Amino acid sequence: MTDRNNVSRRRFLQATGGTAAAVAIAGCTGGNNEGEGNGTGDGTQETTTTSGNESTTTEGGDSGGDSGGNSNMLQLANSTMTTLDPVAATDTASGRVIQQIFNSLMNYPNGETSVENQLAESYETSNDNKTYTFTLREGVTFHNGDELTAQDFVYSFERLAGSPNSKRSYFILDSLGVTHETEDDGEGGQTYSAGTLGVEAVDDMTIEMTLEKAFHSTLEMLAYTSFAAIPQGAVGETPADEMGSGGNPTQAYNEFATSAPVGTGPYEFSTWEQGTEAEVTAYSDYYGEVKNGGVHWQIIEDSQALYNYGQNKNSDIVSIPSSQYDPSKISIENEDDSGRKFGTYGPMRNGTTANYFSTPLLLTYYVGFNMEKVEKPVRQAFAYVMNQQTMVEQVFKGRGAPAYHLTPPPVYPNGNYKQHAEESYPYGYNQSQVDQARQVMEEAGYGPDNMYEVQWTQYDSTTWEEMAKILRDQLQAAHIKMNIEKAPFSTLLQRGGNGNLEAYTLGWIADWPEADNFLQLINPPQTDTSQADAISYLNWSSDNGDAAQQATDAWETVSNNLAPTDSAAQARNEAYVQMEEANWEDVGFLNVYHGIGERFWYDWLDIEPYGGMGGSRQMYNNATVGDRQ
Amino acid sequence: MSRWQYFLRRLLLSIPVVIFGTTITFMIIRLGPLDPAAAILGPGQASGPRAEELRRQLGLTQPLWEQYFDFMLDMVTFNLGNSWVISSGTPAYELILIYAPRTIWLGFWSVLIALFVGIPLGFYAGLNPNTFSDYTASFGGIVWRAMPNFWLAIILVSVLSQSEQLIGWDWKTWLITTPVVTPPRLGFMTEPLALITNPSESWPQLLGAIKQIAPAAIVLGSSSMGNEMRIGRTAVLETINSNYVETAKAKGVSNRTLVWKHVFRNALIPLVPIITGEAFLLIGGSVLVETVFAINGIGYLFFQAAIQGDLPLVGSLMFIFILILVGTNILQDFLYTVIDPRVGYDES
Amino acid sequence: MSNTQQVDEVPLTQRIRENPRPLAVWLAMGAVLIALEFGAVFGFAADLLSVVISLIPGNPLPGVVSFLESLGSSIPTLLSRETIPNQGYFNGSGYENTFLGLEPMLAWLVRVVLVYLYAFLFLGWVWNGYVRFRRHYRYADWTPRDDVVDRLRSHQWGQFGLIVVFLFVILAVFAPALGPTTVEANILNPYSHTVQFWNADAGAVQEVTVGQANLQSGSQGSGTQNVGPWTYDDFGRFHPFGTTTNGKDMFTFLATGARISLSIAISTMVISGFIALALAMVTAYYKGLADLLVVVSSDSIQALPQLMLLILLMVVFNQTWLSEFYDGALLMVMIFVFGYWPFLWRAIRGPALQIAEEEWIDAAKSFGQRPWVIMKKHMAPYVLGYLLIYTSMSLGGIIIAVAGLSYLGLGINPPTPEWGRIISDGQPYVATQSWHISLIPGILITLIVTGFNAMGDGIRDAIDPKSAKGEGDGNTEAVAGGSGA
Repeated sequence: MTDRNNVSRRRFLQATGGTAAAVAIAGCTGGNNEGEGNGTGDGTQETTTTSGNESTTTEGGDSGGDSGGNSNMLQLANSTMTTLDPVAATDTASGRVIQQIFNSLMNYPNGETSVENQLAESYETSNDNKTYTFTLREGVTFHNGDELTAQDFVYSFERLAGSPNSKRSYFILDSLGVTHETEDDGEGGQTYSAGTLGVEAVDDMTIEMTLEKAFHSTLEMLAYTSFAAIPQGAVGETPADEMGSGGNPTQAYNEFATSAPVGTGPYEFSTWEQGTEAEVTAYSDYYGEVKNGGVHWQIIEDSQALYNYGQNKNSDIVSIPSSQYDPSKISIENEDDSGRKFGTYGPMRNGTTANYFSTPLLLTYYVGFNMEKVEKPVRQAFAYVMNQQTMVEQVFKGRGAPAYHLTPPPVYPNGNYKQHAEESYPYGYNQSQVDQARQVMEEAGYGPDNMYEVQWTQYDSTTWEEMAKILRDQLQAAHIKMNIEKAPFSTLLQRGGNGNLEAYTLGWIADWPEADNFLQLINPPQTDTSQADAISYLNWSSDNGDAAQQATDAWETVSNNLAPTDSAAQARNEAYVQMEEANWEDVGFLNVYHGIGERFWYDWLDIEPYGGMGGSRQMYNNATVGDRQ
Repeated sequence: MSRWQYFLRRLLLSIPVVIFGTTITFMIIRLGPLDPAAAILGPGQASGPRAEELRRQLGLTQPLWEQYFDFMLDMVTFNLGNSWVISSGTPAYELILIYAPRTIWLGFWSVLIALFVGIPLGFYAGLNPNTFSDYTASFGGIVWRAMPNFWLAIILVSVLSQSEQLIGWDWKTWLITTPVVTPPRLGFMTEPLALITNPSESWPQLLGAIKQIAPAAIVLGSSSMGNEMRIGRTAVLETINSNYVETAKAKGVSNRTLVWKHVFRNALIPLVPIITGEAFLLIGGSVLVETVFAINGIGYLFFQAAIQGDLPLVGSLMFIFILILVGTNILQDFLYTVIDPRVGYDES
Repeated sequence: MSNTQQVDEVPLTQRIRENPRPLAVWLAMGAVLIALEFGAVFGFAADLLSVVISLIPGNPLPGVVSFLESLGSSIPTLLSRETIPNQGYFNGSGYENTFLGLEPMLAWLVRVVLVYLYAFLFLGWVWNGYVRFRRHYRYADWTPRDDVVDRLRSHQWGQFGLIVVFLFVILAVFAPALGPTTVEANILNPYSHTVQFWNADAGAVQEVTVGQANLQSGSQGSGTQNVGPWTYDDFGRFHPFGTTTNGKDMFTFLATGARISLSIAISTMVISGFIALALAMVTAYYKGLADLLVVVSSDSIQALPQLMLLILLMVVFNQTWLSEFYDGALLMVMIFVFGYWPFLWRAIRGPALQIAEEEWIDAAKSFGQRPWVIMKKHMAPYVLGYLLIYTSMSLGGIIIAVAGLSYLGLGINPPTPEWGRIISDGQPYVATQSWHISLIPGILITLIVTGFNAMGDGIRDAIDPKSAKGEGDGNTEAVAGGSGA
């Protein structure tokens, strides 16, 4: 990604910022509800899923038996949604609903990391891996009755690239790198030039897409709901029509995004009342199977409320906040190859034992250091005192995975995560080495009367706060005085971008399931906050870190080997490890934990487990709901 | 100065109060260190050209006094502007319409509960001074009032959520099934006719909404309930010991008439500021109580807007609060003017 | 009411010289009391000095301060942790390093009882001083203030308040001596301190850092993760109020939190009381435009919902240099002062206006006395009583408001202990076996606010037995409720 032109970089940034925001906010929710805290990101939302008690209330049903008219609907919960427009949604709460309404060419089946065809019947790749030709599935209709054609995809992709409402244009223009032209935006920058996207309808059922260069995760990118099909002209003749005068979206757009979304998914939109509930119902003409009547989400933010709802047994899936979670109630019966664990949890407060499963997610939480401002010994002291294992146990009651690499286990090169960390982690694998930390600080000239002061800035999250308190206590003994400061998320990112943070907390959730998506954050040139396109706030350079050059070189190797071939993958994998080790040496990111996704559900619900992409990417059409007890 | 002149003076005085109060709000949000453009744009762009552009669009590059006049003009003409961060682009007016009914419902019941529990208890205590029940009621009221609202709310939520396990009685399924937290469903408000046309569905909904708001209303009403009780007790005591009641007693007026006609009416006067003063407690307290009970009302909206730097929304909400509070004050003065002969002599 | 003194009275010093014995006895008693705690008094003075010095730019005398502080701590005091230590450990057969080899709980109890005994002795000594002064030295047989005191003596409700407040103040003042452990060792810097404990499995005394011990002593609701009130943790440490979520001692936390709450509340009331008094004097004296201006500005501030104003100000100024002073306490005080002075001013405006109408004020004016002298000498003393009533009744409200803001995550920065924050921390655990985390601080706040209100009632009834309980009170009642927090 180093050779992107200026404009796309900016767009890229803007959007990645959005992703980070989504993660951190999810982390924040998770913080309140540590049940998910670990399973933050997607996992958060998933485990928070609970029953819509309120709907039962109004149906006049009694809490125990929601045996009213919607007994074959899934009763779930969601956090606050923002939009139902696939190209505008950046949060998992919206994404969860969008996933049910819209289909794309490819799909992560049950949120697993490998993709399969969805609306694409088949695809072909050119020899240089730059041109993809997709043949569409026959007989697919939109919820408005129209048949799906290649033109719908051309329109949908054009929206993704050029709609003023699109918050994911970097997905198609930069990450995927579909060919396109740019023009001056009147502010000295470059912007996408409408209608120049390299996506063509060869005939009604065939789409051809051309990339600027080969990219290893093309199919994976296309599985995102941002690439979903919407009917041609659904929100205006061209994307530019979506914005009315005065910079506000048109009426038609607002309707599409909040009250009348149309897709080809298994469920039709039914209702969405801001801050209260949302509902979708089974689409009778869906080309596949829909085994239930629909899905109802109660919108609940408060973790304790979620817990109470779940314990009311209105829920099909319940949430257990950390405070109520008792690790001794878990019994794991088996574990599959991808690290998913299956078993039961209980008895819960209401006496029932729930089914349980957990899965590692593509999600890493870290402490970042502005390396220009925080000296290397201090960063190393942080790393020495940090015992990831203890953190996960203390703060999450073990509901998370300690992180030693920025790359999460499911996508770590060659599946070598654990071994590499155990053998080579330089700051004590699962150890808190306060003495070493003190020593490194004393060597740097600090002492009890000459404490180093460092500012810890975090978004509002009880989990980070708990960790901060533990770290603060430990660092105090290593002659570091750490001040804990909480900032609203927007402020945190803004100050980071200005280079005004010292130690800060953030998380990263995968855009596509490969390590480069994570490691771009520690590519030193992209961490320079004096540039407009910094994607993390490290300011990592040879002036403040001995391994900066190693990381820069490794990223260069990654950039030169992006093709979806085995030899390129080999080269990338080696470079990934180089970058992880460079980060260990200089402690730019202190990785803390990886999210896991958990689900606790009652017996009457029959639902597939989900995978590393998270529960928000799971479609519910194969779930069945029996009699609630 | 006649009573009505005094009232008129108070009325006139409220104009500069609204203006000055709004000015203070403006000063806090615009002169304070929070940068609205940065709050909207988020990462890495607070200093870029887009930020400059946005500042220009938002009018932040204009001279401060111009911004001030624009702000004041917008407020007075109820042009409340759009939210920037919470729900970007949504008019503040719309957000208020979504969030306010829950708070109004909460406020309504907390005033009602406070009135119908606090005043009778206070009067009862006043009529039976220095008895065991007086002490119990008085002491209970004092302690009740001293409890921090948010703490009381936390305890209540936890206990009610698990009432079955803790006290063997299930609050959630009592009468009608309701959750302990989250906003009540107020659909019947928009269609009050449904209470007649579709009673089987809307009455349970109404009942559910009342039951669901009750714990929050009790908490929010708690401090004013205590106040009303104390003042009510004192007022009844003072009235009973006053000359004219003694006279009436001597004249042989029956105890019943005495209490209802002479004591209560006069004892109500000092309660007026307490009752109108509830508006202050309700608006302030709604933040914490709504946060704990997960009632996404206007207090919660304000808190979220404040911590996320959604300054236009904060400004608009503050302005509305000021109007409500000043309005309540005027109402209080009006009530005084009508019922209390003393006003006007006080202030010579 | 100093101006009631007669011109021909004998100066106090001369009266003492004529009859020195009562004073000498009283001073001797005082000397004994102070001698017992000389180290602490000295340490306090040194602390105070260090604060003053740290305010001077450039921090000129760090050596002197630390010398004084170490000197202070080296002087033995009766009530110090060193004299009556409770942090010993079991060695398999008995306790080591505790007071008289008692178990830590008893040793701690002995110290607490002694501290309170001392405090009450001190209180008695002060009262004794007043009585001696009244009997032996005061010129007048009777002053109006005697009536105030007498009324207070027969006001049981007010006395209850006074006692609660006194207990609370002692908790705050003696926080370092009362806690089973210290803030420094247990809360601020646990990894630099160690604790010895009897490991029954190994059958030996082992040593571990306090931080590690804390991590394994947290109260988190479920299973074995709980250290409740009045229990020992696995490391033989006694926790009168149990532990917090991350294993720190709740009692130590709360006692120190009491210090913070109390200092914020008192500073706020002193400053806003001062502002209110000054403004009341000016407005009552000059009336007209001055009065109108203050009326409009105070009404405008009062027209803003208190708690929301506080929230907004806290958010806006949270990341500025202001929030760094005393862990944010200074900012809180400033914000509270901004929000509270109008209430106080409103409350004393009426009495001030009344005083200004009195004849003697006119007389003083015609006498040619300067306005500020008139205000200071002839007006202020009469309003002070009212101010005292309202400030004492508002103190509880501020304590609630501070806790409320901290609950929302605004306020005193961690790790400095604050009550609202601990309530928030314990919120998820209220209905679990770790109920104590939220419940105990809440009960304490309730108790203290009740105490302050009762004391306010007592003072009001004592100073002004016929005080209007109608209109004016609405204000105080509202303030006493903590603005709805």
